[in-house]
Amino acid sequence: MRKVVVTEFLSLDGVMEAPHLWSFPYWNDEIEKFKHDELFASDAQLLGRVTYQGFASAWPSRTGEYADRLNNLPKYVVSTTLETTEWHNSHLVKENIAEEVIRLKQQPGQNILVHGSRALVQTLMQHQLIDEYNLLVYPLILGSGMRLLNEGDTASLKLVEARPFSSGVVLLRYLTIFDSAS
Amino acid sequence: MRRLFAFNMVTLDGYFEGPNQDISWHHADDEFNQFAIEQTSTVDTILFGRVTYELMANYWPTPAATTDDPIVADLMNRLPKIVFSRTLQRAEWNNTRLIKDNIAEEISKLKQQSGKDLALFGSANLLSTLIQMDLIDEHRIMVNPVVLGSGTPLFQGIKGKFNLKLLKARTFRSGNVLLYYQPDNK
Repeated sequence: MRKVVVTEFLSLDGVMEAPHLWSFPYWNDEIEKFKHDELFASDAQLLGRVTYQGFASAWPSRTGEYADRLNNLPKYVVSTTLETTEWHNSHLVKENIAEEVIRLKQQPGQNILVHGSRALVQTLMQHQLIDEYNLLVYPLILGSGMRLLNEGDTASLKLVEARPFSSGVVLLRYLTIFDSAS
Repeated sequence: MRRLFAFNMVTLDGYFEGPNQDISWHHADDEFNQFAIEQTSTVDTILFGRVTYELMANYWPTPAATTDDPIVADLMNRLPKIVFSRTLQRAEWNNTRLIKDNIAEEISKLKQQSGKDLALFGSANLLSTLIQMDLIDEHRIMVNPVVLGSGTPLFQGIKGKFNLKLLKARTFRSGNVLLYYQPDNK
């Protein structure tokens, strides 16, 4: 079965909002390589509306190995309000989110990658649909902004790897330990 | 000059304690205990806010602590401690001094004395104050592999953005990751 992999840029205090405002100074070859490998281990993207709209306005004009793959991969956009999708190879998921994600997971293929998408991540957590987390923790206390993990979100995790990068970012990779009773 | 470090166990969602001061999610194994002994041995004064002080003062002097964690209990009970509180009237835990005011001056004075490091354990309210006063020299944050869903956040009430410098990251067999940072302006 395919895995749903959530990938995030986080401040040390857990904020995921607007990483373009604070993550760029720490970008380096190591992070670029990690993001590249992560994308090339995936063959579908699952996105919430806000992240989707941000990506759809930024990526189609870009080229290169990473941008080309991002632009070409099928994108599943979860939104109850969006009517149309402009970005190449996008598919709207308007209802039955859990069923749709389970159907995607049962198809053969590589990982299903979730960038950002805070509200969607919450929904996926509630349905125990997230297999892995790739969290890039930035050396910043932001003090304000929307956090990835919120009141009521719970999970038991297994640490796969903690990899510090030379710019001070630490990659934390976790697997979900699924509760066998549920 | 002595350094003040803040050590905290946190969940991945950033809580240092669950509801009702629950810390049952701490992944504390032999490797952690060894680390705790080594870390506490580098310290000669421990600072607390009132809430964490009361919690610790009600645990470490008990026979349960002496049985479960004899070495750390002995250190915690013996080491000089300072509790910062405007409301506490007395601090009765062995070797504890109560300071009611002038936190910044008192801590600066402590730092200028010779000796081993100063440590701040838990004490999220005080931590937030000290971060904003630029008095913390090092953060040691041990991220436990659990998303708790409710509790008290370690970083709260902090106004403004603080840049840090990663010093090192240490992985424990339990899945805990200990992150060492210093403020980026030092």
